[in-house]
Amino acid sequence: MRLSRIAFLFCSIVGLTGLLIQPGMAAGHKKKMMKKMAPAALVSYKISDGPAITAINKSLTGKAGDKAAGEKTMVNKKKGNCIACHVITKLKAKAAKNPKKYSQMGLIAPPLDGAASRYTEGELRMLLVNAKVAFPDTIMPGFYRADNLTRVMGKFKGKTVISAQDVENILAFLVTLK
Amino acid sequence: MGRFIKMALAGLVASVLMSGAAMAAPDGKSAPIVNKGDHPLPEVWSGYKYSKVDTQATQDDEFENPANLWTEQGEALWSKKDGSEKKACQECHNDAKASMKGVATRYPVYYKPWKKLINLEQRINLCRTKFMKAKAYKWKSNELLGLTIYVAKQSNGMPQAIEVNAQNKPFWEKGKEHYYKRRGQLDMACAHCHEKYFGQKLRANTLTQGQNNGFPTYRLKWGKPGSIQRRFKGCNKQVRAKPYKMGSDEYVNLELYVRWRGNGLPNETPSVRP
Ligand code: HEC
Ligand code: HEC
Repeated sequence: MRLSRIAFLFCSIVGLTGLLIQPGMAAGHKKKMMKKMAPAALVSYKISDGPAITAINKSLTGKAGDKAAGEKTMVNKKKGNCIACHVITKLKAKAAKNPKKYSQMGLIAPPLDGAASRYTEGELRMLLVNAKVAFPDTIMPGFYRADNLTRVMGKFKGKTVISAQDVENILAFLVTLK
Repeated sequence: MGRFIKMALAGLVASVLMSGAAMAAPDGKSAPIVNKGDHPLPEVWSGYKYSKVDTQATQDDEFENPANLWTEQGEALWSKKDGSEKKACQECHNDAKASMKGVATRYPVYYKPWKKLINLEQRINLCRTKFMKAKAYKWKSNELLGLTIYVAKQSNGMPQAIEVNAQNKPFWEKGKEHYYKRRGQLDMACAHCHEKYFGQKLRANTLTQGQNNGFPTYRLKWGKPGSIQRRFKGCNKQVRAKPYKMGSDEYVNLELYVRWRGNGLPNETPSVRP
């Protein structure tokens, strides 16, 4: 796969260079800028090779993930919203009991069942941070990136969809899907 | 079962199926418009196909369609004199049933004085300001929605018929570029949802091909009809992208491209969608 190679190369360079810094705020709008807090820089990470795809082997935060919190983020429509596209069979009983919170699970992506048997923890972290590194044409959003995006709506500009700790929390849940 | 009977049965089933397929007109609802050659969609389907049966029934029922209030208002406006010229649409165009037939299937069109495209709503407003010397209607006004529905409805049953020619090609190209461009914090293009995954479930929504053959559409979620331009804004916002203005060049170009994608689909204004 040539495309994924190129993506891999590009990302390794980014990874090795280290910092993924928030894009600088546009000039002008000075007043607004003063009021808003300066955006925090993203946590830097290193991309390396995994057995199946590329991986980020080191925790983004160094703090253990909380899998219950991860599950909440995964079903939250404004956060991970993973079940918009993925079925997680393990959550189906809960979904039946609480259809409002879990809504209907989407069917456009592969079920997440067994994801941890197919990928290492580091690979899953990479997929969460930016799935496009492994699957260049994917519809799956990059959840922890803020660079190279087009026409992001004002209130989301320079921000990631979820936080670095959210990534670690979701990961704590994902690794249970063996 | 004897082998002979089995074979005879299979033959019968096959011929029933085949005659069924032959009977269903390619209307984009029960049978697709089939494209040959260079088109991104081998089969074109109306959003109707993916609606619940009761939503389809509401659209089909001549009296129950909730957009009727607007359609009737549009019909009344057609012959209502307005503006300092004290003219009505009717005075220039006579009976809409004849003069507006097919119009919706070929809009937006290239408009020379603007050196760019003009869509149906803009055309209606241009007639108002230019010939009636009346004020342009607002995009979300009941008046503009009503008149657009009334005009577009005259094309019902006729296939979408965008012809790409020397004049509109550059705009068609821009619309196409928009369609395939990832945007927003969620970094998705129209094509991701409406070309790659139509017919599949995105959480509780069934994705359609995002066709334009039923607009202005009555959206149950909106509780009123809305233009294709409003729909584009909504789809941009869903991926956390900054939307363009209704009637912006970007969206009018996109409207041309989207209607072209649906070429062959019978018009069905006002459609009813979830
Ligand atoms: C808008 C759709 C969408 C959303 C939202 C989404 N994904 Fe995905 N995901 C996909 C698709 C599609 C693939 C398959 C790769 C491809 O072909 O594009 C995928 C692949 C994956 C894979 C690899 C699966 C495999 O077995 O190959 C994992 C793990 C994953 N996603 C986890 C998640 C998690 C966790 C979330 C939420 C934080 C999430 N996804 C949100 C669409 C989505
Ligand atoms: C995140 C997924 C997503 C993206 C990206 C997206 N849409 Fe949609 N769109 C939807 C959903 C969900 C609906 C409602 C169900 C349906 O009709 O598909 C919808 C509806 C539509 C409709 C109404 C179809 C009908 O029959 O009434 C049109 C037209 C449309 N989209 C066009 C677009 C265009 C053009 C773009 C890009 C600017 C776009 N969409 C991007 C999810 C998306």
